[in-house]
Amino acid sequence: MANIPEDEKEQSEFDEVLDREEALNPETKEKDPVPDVESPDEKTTLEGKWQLEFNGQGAELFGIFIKNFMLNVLTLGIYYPWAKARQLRYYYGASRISDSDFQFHGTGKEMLIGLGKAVVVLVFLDLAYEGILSVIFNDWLLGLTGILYAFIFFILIMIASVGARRYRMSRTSWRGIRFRFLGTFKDTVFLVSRGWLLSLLSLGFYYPFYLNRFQDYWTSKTTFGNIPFSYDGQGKDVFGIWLKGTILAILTLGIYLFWLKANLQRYFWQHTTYGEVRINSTLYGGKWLWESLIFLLFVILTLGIGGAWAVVRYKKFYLGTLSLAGKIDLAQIKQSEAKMTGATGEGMADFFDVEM
Amino acid sequence: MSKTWQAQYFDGRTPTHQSVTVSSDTRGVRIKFEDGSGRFWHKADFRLQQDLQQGPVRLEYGEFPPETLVVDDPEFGLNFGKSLSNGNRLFTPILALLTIIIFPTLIYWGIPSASGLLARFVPLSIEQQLGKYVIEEVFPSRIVCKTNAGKQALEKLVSRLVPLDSEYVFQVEVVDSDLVNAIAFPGGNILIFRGLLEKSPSADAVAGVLAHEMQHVFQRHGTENLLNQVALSGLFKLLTVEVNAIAETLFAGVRTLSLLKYTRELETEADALALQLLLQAKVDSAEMLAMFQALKSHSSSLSESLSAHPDMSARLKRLETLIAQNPAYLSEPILSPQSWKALQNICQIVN
Repeated sequence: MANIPEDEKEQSEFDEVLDREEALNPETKEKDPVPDVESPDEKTTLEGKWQLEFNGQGAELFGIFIKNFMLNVLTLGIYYPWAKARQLRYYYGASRISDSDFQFHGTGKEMLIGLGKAVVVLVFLDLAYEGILSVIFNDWLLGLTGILYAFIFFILIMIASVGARRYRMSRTSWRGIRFRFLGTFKDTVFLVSRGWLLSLLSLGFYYPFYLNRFQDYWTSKTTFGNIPFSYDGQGKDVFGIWLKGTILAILTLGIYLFWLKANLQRYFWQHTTYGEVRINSTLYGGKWLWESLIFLLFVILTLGIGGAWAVVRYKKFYLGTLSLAGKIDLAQIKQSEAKMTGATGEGMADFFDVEM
Repeated sequence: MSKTWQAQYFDGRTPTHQSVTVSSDTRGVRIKFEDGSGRFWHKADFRLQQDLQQGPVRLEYGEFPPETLVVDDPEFGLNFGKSLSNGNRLFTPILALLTIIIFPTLIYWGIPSASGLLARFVPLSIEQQLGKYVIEEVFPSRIVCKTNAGKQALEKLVSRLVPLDSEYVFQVEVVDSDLVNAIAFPGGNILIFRGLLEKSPSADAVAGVLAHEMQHVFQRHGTENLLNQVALSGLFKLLTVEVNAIAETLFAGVRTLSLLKYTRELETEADALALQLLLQAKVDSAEMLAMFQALKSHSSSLSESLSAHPDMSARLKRLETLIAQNPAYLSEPILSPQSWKALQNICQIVN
């Protein structure tokens, strides 16, 4: 299990801080210290296969939807961030693996602040753009402004994607340990622009290699506690999947795109590991398309009222395609200092609809 | 006597757990580890969380990283009077019922009524700016026809239709295009497309269309439409908290259909009110019918719910009934045959 090198020092410092705090804490210092070692009968090494599951219930989620909807209407939308937080807490809380559920720690207040900042930035940019446009009459300059605007837009989307992922991960935990995303905005911009540029120059043939690189970056910068996930997919494999998928998509007038998407996603999952644990995915295009259609039909036939049940069914299906297998010593995983990222990226992502 | 619960204790430093027994009293919870040691958490010092009704109940203690106690039995939460399940059990059905009533009511009645009301309070100057903005956005490079004779005929036509007490100053333009249509913008701008003049059986028929478009302006339908759009988008944004792309597409569909429905209602209203303008101006309303009959052959064959305009046959029938209800009056042709010819040829520049 490889630690991220630059993180090791930070990690040991963080551990020291925690030790010191524990020593100073009167509650733990006194007569009843928390036993430091695991109770002997408690096994910390898990070995085997664990299925991800979603045990949410339509009726309960429906209650949350309704309550959120009503409060949103009554507060003219101000309640939106709290509604989002409540919904995410439910989704995470209902997702389990190895008998423990996930937890979302984000709060409505955080997300409201994030959303507010995003609105300010976007409104300011839009006003600035309109202002600049109204004084420019030169065609050449006009074109330049357009390019600049597109560039700023691109940067904002990157901020939104990286920021949202950092925020989400830092607010997600399993058995008390937080996830983290250590990817930086700068690296992401570099990676994405390079990928798009090369894809363009190679008439698209580089694109699958870019996807692979991106997946590698996105995965290996994500950690659970102090240990990062790893990705061992190969560009040439992704290329094969992509080439076959693209050709078949053209022949089937796009219907095969579902299979292409499923094949890529399945490949990405299956090449993701955490220590000696590997993710296994049984996500196949046919089943995925079928479940998506059922979701859609459910929502249409019930005029949206059945949305909650449709979501539960879909989540049960999707998480049901994922399992983990291998061996892991839980005692080796250490909590890391969470970078308490703000929710600005998350707020921005609400506008751009990005989730990478 | 106090009941005990089995729980998992996480120290917040590794994902391993210890099995513990928990009991609670009015001051807080007592945790007993398997080796016999124990802890006491004061009520004020921990946070209680329960994401799902069926549990687990979670207690978090201390700053990051918090120690966590996970009790699977949701009944444990009742000790702290904060259980989600109790409140929700009553709350949800009531809210559900309300939503089932409120949501369709909002879409079918609330939004159009509110927009209609609000549109009345928008100042004329803002409407005019809005209209100009939309016109420039939608038809930036339109070619406006303006032969002198044609313009004079158009002015004559407009001035006879506009009531004396009108607060709107109408700017009617004929656009050089084959479209058989006319369109009104907030504030008093109206575009008539050349195709409509060519297909029109008479000047009175054009007056019928113009009266219809003028009523859109008088009734502030454009502004109302815009407010409808804003309100609907807001409503659906609220509904689509964290749903997937498919659902969003679906909601977009419902939104579009609702908008089209609003538009159709506005069209029907404009039809009915146009007859009053024709009556005041003493223009033959039968010609408006003739115009619609001519338009019928050009209208699309979309079913009514997918169209911005009411179904032509139904529209004709409604109009016939309305005309029959109106008192009979003596009509005068709105333009002389020469003026009508000039108007029809407004796009032909004579050297």
